[in-house]
Amino acid sequence: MRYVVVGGGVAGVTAAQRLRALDPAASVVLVEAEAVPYYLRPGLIDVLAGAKGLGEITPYPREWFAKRGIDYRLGEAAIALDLPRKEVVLSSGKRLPFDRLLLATGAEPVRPSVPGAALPGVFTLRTAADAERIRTWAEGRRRAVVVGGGWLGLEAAYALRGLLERVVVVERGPWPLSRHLDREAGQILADILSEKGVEVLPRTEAAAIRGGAAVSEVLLEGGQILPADLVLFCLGIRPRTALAQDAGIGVNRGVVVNDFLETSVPGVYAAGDAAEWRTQIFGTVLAAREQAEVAAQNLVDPGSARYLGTRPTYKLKVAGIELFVFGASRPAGEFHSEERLQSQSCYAKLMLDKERKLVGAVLLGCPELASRVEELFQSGLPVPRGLV
Amino acid sequence: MQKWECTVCGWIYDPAKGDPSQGIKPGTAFEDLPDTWVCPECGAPKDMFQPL
Repeated sequence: MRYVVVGGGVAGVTAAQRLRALDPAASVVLVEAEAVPYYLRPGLIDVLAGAKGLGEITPYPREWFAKRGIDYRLGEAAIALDLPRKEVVLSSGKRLPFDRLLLATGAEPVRPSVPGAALPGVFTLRTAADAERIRTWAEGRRRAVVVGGGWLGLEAAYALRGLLERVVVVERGPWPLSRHLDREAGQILADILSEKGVEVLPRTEAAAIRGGAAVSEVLLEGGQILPADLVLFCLGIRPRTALAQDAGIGVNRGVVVNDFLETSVPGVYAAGDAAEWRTQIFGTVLAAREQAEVAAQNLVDPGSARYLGTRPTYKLKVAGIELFVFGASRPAGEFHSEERLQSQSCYAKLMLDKERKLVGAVLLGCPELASRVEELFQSGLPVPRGLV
Repeated sequence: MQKWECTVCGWIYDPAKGDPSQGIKPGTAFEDLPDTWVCPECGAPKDMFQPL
């Protein structure tokens, strides 16, 4: 049996390991376009901040894959799928035959469409190379603007604050992380960030990036001008679907998969940020790993494992701010009661169903309580009265 | 029991809780986790953890 896994991020690496364990005699090929071995993407923030080198977030050397009999094709991009011949076409022109295929092509950052976005000094952050380029550019520079106040934007802004004098986050929503936080939590977070030297400008967008040889300022929608010699766009991610789409595999926002994580083409599976399951794209490490495990089982023994979803959990830790979001942070009318705790340093909101089980929770600045809530969330047990 | 912290993302393994996401029962010491176990937050393997 020949398995090919396209994409060497967390989903691809997990699946390759799993395939090897489940089918010791099979050929397992892992294709990755980036030239550096698999690294832990959440650690890129520390690489950006200069706190860690890439080696410190690289868990396995190349030999590790070789020892396990995984044919690791690093720096080789898959450019086409020849489904009738069951082959993956590589950038080198080589063709990799497969019996079953996993697409773990991941996602890429949403590219800014505003004028001036191609100026030197304007970046997006997704890969190790991005983190190193931004860090190098930041040397000797003073002011950064981060466009997008989501998880990545806030973490990146704080990392940049360690390198530059002034960092401003421009956020379209009414407060940072407005997709997850209510007004109270958003305001507390904005205040804490401000104390740490990261200012969030809500309800505005970048209208244009301006400069000569390099970026020098950002023009906002309202006409305000922010001086900037580094601009980072953190506008979210978009599943990489071109390979699948060009081969005629069903694609919506992501590569569409069923509960077996099989695409519209039998024998071809998808997992991780590239995959769209029941209209959802999770975009978390945990979901990517869980999908990779299920997909690997089905590659070896089709129809043997079902994916049932991953309960979303988000955590943000930027020097002293500990923010946890479990489940549906802003459920619309699907919960029964709400319990809150608010003090100067802590904000907690638990949303409960009729049986006092957690539907969702937001906790800011209270790691001890968050740890208890996480247990309850995972176990599905009712929340004791008086917890908050 | 000894807690261990992930050096990449700061997630803490607490033996009292285990790791339900990977079928690890409460009461499992860090040393007894299988070699295939990884940090549920960022995917770091066991050797990237340090005692807390």
